[in-house]
Amino acid sequence: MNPLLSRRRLLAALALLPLAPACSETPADTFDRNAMLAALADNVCAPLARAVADSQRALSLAAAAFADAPAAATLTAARTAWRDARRPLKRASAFAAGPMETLRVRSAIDWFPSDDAAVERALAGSEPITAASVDTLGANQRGMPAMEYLLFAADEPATLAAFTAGPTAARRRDLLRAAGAYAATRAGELAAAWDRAMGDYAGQLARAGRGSAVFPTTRAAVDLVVNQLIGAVDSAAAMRLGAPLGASDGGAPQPDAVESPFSDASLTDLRALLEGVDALYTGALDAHAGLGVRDLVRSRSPAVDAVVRTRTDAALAAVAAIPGTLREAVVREPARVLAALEAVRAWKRTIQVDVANLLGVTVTFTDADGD
Amino acid sequence: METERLVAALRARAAAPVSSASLGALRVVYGATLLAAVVRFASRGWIDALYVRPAHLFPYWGFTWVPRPGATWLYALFATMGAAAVAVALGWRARAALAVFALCFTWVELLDRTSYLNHYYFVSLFTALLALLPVSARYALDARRDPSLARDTIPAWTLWVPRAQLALVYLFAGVAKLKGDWLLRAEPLRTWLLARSDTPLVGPLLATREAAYAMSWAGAAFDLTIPWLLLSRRTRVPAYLAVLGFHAATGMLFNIGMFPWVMVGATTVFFDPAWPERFFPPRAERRDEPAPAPPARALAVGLAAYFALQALLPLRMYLYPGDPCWTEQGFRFAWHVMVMEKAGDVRFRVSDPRSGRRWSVEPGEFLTATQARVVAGTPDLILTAAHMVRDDFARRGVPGVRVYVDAWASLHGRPARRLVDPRVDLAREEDTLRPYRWVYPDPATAPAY
Repeated sequence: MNPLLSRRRLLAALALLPLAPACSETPADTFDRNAMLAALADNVCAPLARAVADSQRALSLAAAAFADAPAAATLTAARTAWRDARRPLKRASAFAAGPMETLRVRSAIDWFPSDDAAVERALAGSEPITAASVDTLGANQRGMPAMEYLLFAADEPATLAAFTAGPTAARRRDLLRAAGAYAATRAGELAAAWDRAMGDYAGQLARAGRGSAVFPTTRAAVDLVVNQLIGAVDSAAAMRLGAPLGASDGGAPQPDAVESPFSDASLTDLRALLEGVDALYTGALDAHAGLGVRDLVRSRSPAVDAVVRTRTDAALAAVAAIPGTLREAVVREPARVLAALEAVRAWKRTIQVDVANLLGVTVTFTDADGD
Repeated sequence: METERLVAALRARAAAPVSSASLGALRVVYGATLLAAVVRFASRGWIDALYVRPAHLFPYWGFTWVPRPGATWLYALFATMGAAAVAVALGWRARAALAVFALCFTWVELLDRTSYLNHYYFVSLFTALLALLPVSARYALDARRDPSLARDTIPAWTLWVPRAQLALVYLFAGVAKLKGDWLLRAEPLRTWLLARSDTPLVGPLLATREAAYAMSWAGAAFDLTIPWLLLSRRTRVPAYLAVLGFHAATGMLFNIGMFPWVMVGATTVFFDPAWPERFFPPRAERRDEPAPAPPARALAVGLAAYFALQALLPLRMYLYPGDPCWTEQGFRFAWHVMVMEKAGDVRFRVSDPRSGRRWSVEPGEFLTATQARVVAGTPDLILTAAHMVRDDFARRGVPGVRVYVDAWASLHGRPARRLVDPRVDLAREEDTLRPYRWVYPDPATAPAY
């Protein structure tokens, strides 16, 4: 045998050695992350922003109708509009970045925790309350929490009395009307910011790494989406369940720490937030289905996706199993609430640990170096 | 007798005169790189984000005595580093400037373990070593100011020192890659490259399994061989082209800051010592210089001890059971460069045995987001954080609490599993160099894909 030839063969074999394990596995390299981002933007985020705008507009009209003519019927209509506006807003809150963050929609519409004393201070003031002046009020004196306080804090007769005959009746009507109009305006800005024909944040997400002015790389956008999932589930666990349960207060229940305490919408709020997370993960919102984070995860590991599905279902089921209102449950059924808290925590852990590791996502944003 | 002859031969080779040009060029390039690094760090707001804003820092074992400067002093330290880097590049009081830079930089680095990076560690060591060498012999204001510092030749050992330090970095970085995950599963490169499949032109190629395997093996081979290939005149040119290609690629693909450019500049020290003279010819007249000499005995002993320590320190990982990527014992100061992708989640469960009250504490309640991310997957940081929680409760009038943790981690795509034994009260565990009995064994299973 020609020794030179044999050495060349040996070198060639050595050079190809690294590829041996690669060839032995099924390739799954073709997942289009930009297609996923486009689908999430167009099928989930933008529709949710539009739903927020529509429902806030309806709430604004109902609130104004009640303020103009306080009566049992208009109060009921305003309360219904308030409840109807919660689900779109909480679902959209699962993606708290982008326009939701830059337009400071949360502080404009949905500041949490709410502060009824702050609303009373606004009512006790003397400055005229208009849609424009609401902008200068504190985040805890406007938006849906303030409207909730005005509409739900007392029973129907007392609310009607406060809006018609009380010492602050006129200012209550002004604040309700102005808060509704302000929230509707800001929600409209949110929808416009996502709209491809206007602010085009949906397009920025879809074009990540391909000419997007917001996302220099696709990876930055995928990291953002996954971090939104983690942040939303974490806030559900820590603030929406853990805080009322007294997890940070030595185990003493804190029923006043629930979200939407006057309307007792805490659990529907929580379910809506988790639905929003699930929509971002699956890419499916109501009748619309498309690519979601799930498809990216599946492309790497169907097993991890199966774990996420199991955890999601368990968390949603555990939240659904909380009886009555959350305010009552943290006192009377703390074990049920604790079970829900643990299930939501497990869901968050699966996204933060399994999904993030599988996708090479940097959890929390930092541009610091690594090695 | 034989030993004496060997020592004599070694001393003769160490004292052999070589051109001072490459060490002078290294100083210029290195100083400029340090300046760029300091400006970059400050301009990105990292002084504030990493060292001013955190309520708590995580000092190193044995270095808890290092004082934490206030914001003004921190900015002053970085300003001093910037000025020192300029002085290094210009060769003005260069050795003192290198020593000042090394001191300031190391002081800052010792403040917080959550900010540990291999290349920061390298900068501390390399800068301190250069401060011992005749770096002002060429291309330096020092040589103009004090002609006795100017030298056309320097002893060979002065080039051995930076070369040995670089060789150790590459060698142990290569050893760290000789693992099943790196070689047989191409992890974590596979995960990282898939996340960068949008890279212009090469993105689709990076997303292939073959690219991940080829780059994993090539990376290990590069690290293990590059110092020797750079030393050999026959292979030097292709080896340095490989250095340029390797570090340019890692610099473009990954967030590793100035490290690639530090190494691209530093590895020029492997070249023929006279290489800069092609571009900057030496003066025609010969200088009356003292003959180069081997290092003084004390310095020789000190350097020998230093390099022995540098060779042994990374090997301490073998004293600990389990994968150092999982336990992270023996992980730092061992040149585990770009070999780990790990995500974690941690929560502290606090209980007061006297009152029976219980609390849940999230890391985000007392750490910055960056710190919380790093702490979540790192056992020794979890222990320190547990002690912070314990001490905080004591300050608020609840002494003697027990602190348990729910800590989960995923390494290289494996399913998440518990990192820390949730039954162990970390408030009573001490941070020692012994293996942590409360860290669960690393997952032996293959990743879930």
